[in-house]
Amino acid sequence: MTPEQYQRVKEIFDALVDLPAPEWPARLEQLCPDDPVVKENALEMLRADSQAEGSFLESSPLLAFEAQASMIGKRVGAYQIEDQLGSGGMGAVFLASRADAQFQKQVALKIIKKGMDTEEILRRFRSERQILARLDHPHIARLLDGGITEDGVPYFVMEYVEGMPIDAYCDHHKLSLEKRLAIFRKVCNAVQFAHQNLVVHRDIKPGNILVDAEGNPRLLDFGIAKLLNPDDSDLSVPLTETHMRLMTPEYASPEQVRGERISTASDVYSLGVLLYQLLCGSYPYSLKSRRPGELERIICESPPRRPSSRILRSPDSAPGDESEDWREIAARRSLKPEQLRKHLSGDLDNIILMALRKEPNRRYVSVEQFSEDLRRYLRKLPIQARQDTARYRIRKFVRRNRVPVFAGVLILLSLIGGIIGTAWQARVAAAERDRARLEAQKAEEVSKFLTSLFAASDPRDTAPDSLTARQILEEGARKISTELAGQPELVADLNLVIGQVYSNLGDFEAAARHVTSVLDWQREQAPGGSVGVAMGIQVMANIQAKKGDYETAEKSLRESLAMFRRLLPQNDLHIANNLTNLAGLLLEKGDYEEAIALHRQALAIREAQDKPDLADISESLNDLALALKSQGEYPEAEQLYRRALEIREKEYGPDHFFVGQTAHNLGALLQVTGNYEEAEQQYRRGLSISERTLGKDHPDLAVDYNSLAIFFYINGNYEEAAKFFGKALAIWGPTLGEKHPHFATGTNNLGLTLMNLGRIEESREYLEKAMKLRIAALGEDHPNVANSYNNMGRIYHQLKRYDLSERYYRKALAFYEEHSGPEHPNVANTANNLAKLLIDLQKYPEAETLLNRALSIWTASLGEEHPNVGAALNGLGLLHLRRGEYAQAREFLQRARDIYNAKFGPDHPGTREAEGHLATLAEKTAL
Amino acid sequence: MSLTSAKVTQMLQEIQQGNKDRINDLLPVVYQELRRLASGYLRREREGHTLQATEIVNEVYLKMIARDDLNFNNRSHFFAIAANGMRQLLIDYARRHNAAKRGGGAQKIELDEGAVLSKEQSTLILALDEALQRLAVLDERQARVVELRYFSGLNVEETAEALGVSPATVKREWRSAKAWLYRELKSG
Repeated sequence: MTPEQYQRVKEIFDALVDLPAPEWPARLEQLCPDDPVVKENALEMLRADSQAEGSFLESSPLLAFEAQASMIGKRVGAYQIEDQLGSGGMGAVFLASRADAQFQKQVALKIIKKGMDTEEILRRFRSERQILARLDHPHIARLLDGGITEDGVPYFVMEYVEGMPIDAYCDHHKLSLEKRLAIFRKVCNAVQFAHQNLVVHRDIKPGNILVDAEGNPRLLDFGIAKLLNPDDSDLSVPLTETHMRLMTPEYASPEQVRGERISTASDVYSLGVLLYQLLCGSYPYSLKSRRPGELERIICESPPRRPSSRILRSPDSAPGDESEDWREIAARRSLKPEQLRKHLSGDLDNIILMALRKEPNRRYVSVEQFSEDLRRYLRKLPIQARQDTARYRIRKFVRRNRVPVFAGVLILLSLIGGIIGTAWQARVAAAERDRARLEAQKAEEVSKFLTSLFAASDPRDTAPDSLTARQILEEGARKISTELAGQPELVADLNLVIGQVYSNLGDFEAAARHVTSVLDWQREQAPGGSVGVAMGIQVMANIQAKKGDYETAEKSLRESLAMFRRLLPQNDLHIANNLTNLAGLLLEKGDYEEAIALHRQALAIREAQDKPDLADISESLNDLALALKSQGEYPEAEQLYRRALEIREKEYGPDHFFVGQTAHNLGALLQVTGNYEEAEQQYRRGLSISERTLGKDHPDLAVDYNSLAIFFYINGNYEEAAKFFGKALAIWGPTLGEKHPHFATGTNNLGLTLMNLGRIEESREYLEKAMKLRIAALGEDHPNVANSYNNMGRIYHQLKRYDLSERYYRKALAFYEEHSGPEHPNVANTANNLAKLLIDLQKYPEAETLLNRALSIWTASLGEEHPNVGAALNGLGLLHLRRGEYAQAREFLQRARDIYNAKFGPDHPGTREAEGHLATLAEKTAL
Repeated sequence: MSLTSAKVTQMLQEIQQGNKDRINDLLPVVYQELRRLASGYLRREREGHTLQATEIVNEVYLKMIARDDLNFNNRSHFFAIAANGMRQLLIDYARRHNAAKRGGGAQKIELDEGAVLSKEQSTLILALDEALQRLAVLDERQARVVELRYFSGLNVEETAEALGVSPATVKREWRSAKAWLYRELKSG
């Protein structure tokens, strides 16, 4: 239709609209015989006219606002209304001040909607006002006055609070879950105070809790709901429209919706909804319907959704759908959706659901208890809220003991300083894995037994903290021997479980005792060996390895491997698992080549399965990469780590312990190859995961400290390095003992750091101690011992004990050349160090040969820009400087300086060494 | 700056920062101010005075319809701007009120949150706004009649004053406009 046509339509409409409808068609023909569009539109409009009359179009929606707007400037009682603050179901709230007061004190004045029972409300107000005026609490806004307006509507006067609703406040400041819980507990405190004064709020919701700029919440409207509610009696009042209007359905408890007696438990419920919303950004139910009957059904009957289950798992969904919002909701808590889900899952889920129980008497008995459980959660103590006591405790227990099943393993890190790193080897003992499978088959029996175990110690009667894991185990062991005597297979399984847990707790003797008893029984059953026997041997080997007894462990693992190969098809997963364990042990022993070969075999078996297990494959990739790195095969190692990391992130989620392990290992590799920026990122990622998943004193957390310290060391930040090496040692000493190879490594590393800090004498003590510990634990033929020789060479060089220094360097070099091969980075490292000594001894030709050798090894394995190359160049520069070959010296030194400067900046010791030599050079040539 | 004006400024800031709830509180204040201005304007116009918009309306229009030059030349201009501003405010209100549930958050239920307008009204306002845009293409003056009547709440006489036409014309235009809009909304 064109504007011109519309003008004709209007003319026809105006002419015909007041005529009776039957006359329209004929008149239409007369007025517009030629244009069917005009005719049709006009006819439709004529028909619409009668319906449009009196429709919504008749009154502007703005008129709805007029009533409220008209209040501003009016006087109510002793108060002058200045402004509107907001409006709610009960009426509107205004900012007002006492019209007759000397000083202007602002108050909030709430005018109740027309149509409520004024007389009754006022009567209640008079009877309650004394009680309400007594509610003097820092987090409660007080009720000051009340009365009736000229129009005959009740009003209440309250303290005026400036602030944001609690939910908006938390989101606006992107508060973490902990901070949200802290504010929420202040709210609980206020509600509890009111309950003690026999006042129930009845209308707890974010709009009634304002948080001021200092982060302190103030509760509004205490007692108001009761003044307005017609149900202050024991009699059940049927649900009516008015009734519902007074409530905020999202926060209303089942008893409120039903019109039943309201108690403090109703506030507990509303607080539960509030907490639900603060933590996961949504409500327990979807209340789309506004029909009272439907609302009642949902609130009273449907179970609330677990908060954690609200957070969607998939972070990859297309933007605009719900997961986008979860990202936003999580971001407002400074988390990722997956992290938010994890935080909520478990204790917080249970706490909230306990507050939201349908039956008032099954909720927390008081707000105080609710708050107390949150405190316990924040302190990481067991909470009260749970569905099933025994199951709950088992889960707590298993979770506490889950992580330590995996052992961190030492490896060599070849660096200039010969500092040694530690790395994770995701060496899940095959026996543990098989044990887990076995356990799954008999899960029911085992879990029944464990349940009885926990039930026997009756957590309801004892304080939850008083039971230690060890006590539970002892109780378990006792029960196994007495109550299950007739079920040897179950006894065997449980003894393996218990042995494993003892091993995790670091009590290797008790562990060995339990596993040995199983093994003896199994050997008795199958003297020729069996799969079960082989698995028992593996568990035993794991315990031996943890004790640091690598020789026995290796023997055990070779025995079980042979047994598996005899009994099973060659591509059986048992064999792959055994290979993985053996390879891991060989890596610790320094037999890199065989370790690599075995890991490749294990990987091949795992990849060849009909349904390959990605988690298994990622383990093989991680471990193989670790072995390859030890052998100096950096590019392949990096590629495998990245593959392993990708799989693990997908399989376990981004914050899983395993992801942390591989991130850490990749960081260590990137550090060797000179990618320091990403190395630090990966280290910090690994560390933060470890800090969250492991205890504060866990030996495996110290592995992360050690690595981060190495990072600082390489960057020339020796103070920080010493601090973190110290932290690692402080954990390893008491937990693993001084005989453990980790402790020797920490001692060695701290020694080297002290040398760089100029604390030479202390340094020598640490390095010598480390060397002795290593020889005692590993024997003389171990790469770590060679590393100690190298370091002893360095400290004696510093002490100008040139003879001793040279002897140690040559021992280290001989070992590396023989065991690691002539092209290994460790050879370059020691060659470089020895060359520096030889320069001081003026043995220039051999020094030059060694430096060139180091230079070519490093350039080939690490690239031309690596700082190690810079170190060799510094050495060559110094050599030529001493010989008086200044032009060559300058070229080497400038290249060295440029490499260090580009990587670490001007303050790094490497840069300063080059600059120092260049300054000497300048003096010499100036003469 | 008067207290009300300061409050409006603050409310506008909050709305811009994402606290759309504040529109609930802003609308009545602005409406009242507009009504006051409108009556003052009509009265003074007869006395030959020139209108100056007050701070508050300036504030609202600066923010809501992004007009920085608000010295109204004549009453039609004022009402055109005012009606458009109120329309904008109402549309925002209705949009927010009508916003589809996202992210698992609960739908706001009319029983609370001081919903002055029902959900149906909000839906209608949005549909009406679209229909009115189509009407403006066919007949601009008629669309302005609707805007003044419906979105600014002016009565027939006020609307006639604002547009400088006779009340009879407003009545006639209003009736056919309603019929057209009603048909549009029913068929849409």
